[in-house]
Amino acid sequence: MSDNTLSYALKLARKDLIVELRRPHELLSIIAFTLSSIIVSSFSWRTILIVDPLIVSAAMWIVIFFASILVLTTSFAREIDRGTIDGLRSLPCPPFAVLAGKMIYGVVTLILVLLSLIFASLLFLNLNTGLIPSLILIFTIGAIDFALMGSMMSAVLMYSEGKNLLLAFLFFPVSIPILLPGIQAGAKILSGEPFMALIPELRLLFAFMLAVIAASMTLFQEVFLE
Amino acid sequence: MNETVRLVDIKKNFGHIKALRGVTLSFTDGQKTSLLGPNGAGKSTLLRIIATQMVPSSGKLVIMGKDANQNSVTVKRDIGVVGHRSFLYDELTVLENLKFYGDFVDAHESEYDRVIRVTDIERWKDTKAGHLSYGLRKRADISRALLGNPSILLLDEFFAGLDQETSSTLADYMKELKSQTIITTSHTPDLINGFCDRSVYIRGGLIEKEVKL
Repeated sequence: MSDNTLSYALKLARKDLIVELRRPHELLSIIAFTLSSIIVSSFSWRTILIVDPLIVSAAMWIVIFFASILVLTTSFAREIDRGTIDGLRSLPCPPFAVLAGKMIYGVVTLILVLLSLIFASLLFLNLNTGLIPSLILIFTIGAIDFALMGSMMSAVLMYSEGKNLLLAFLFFPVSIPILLPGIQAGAKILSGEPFMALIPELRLLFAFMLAVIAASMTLFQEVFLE
Repeated sequence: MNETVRLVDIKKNFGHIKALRGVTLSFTDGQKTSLLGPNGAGKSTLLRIIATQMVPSSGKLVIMGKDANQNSVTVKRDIGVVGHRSFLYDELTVLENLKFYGDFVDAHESEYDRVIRVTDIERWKDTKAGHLSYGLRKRADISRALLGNPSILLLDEFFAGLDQETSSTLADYMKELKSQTIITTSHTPDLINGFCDRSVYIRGGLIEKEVKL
């Protein structure tokens, strides 16, 4: 990505974040969903002395997964519904900058959700604070993967009749390469395994990220310009 | 007169539907052209192709001497588009919207004042676009399209949904723009022809006739 493309992408992401923060009910409802999911999990596990780390990790990833659907279904769908997509098409910037802007917006929003998830997990799931940096790292990489893939899918589906429903359905099968290593890595962290034990999962998550970026750079222009 | 836009045998298919069946047309600077025709004639498709928002199935599009398909990012700097639907974001003020779009054409601070003056929307520059009436929003959209002083202005269904008074005001703004090539679509020729010097009639994806006004 050239400097110009990145600079255009940042301008687009900034616009999306301002728009989102001026209508905060969506972001707040996603954060409320995150908090309530963790509280409900904590409540259901109250009688279990030691919860399997794999279950805790899976619960946290499920929250991030659904939060991603809520954040990303709107990214291109809203531009189509409002008619502003033609404004984006008329911008004198490489089409990939538009997608990159949406990706950056998705990453920032999901990181906000992630921070609330970690905070809620500390409070209600009694997470060891020493595990937080590793958890933040692995969930951030997962959130970036979700944002990249979700933004591209949102673009591909933007002309479909039931785009929001379709994205929700299709998001699961394509998320498996993120969820499986992510859940595994989360479980290893929660079990107290050393950071080096996460390398195989990190490799998979990074490989997926590169594959999505490569596919997006190749396909997006065809999708974006009619 | 310098040629600003040249279309050579432009065709556009949507599946088995042939929206444009070989359009050859050119436009010069300062020329104001209306594309007229019934619904589904191919006017908006042609406009979207000139705006480089849509890629033709075949044919050549030259904008300001450059092949538009190979230089779409560069030629977009020469094109201002006012769509049938507004490109403004409801949550941003008029000025914020202008600055968002202006950033992409390297607009200076003085440029915002200029385009706001052209359509006389100083009073509303700090109002959120979502709170504007349809007519005011259209005026703000024209200001947005004028950022970067584009050589070509494309107006899609420009007067649709506007009352007579607002339409006349907007037509007056268009008359003031002497140097730009203006291409506009409509199926109501009366107002459009008030500021255009040429009408091109399109039917079934083909040019039916051209009339100098």
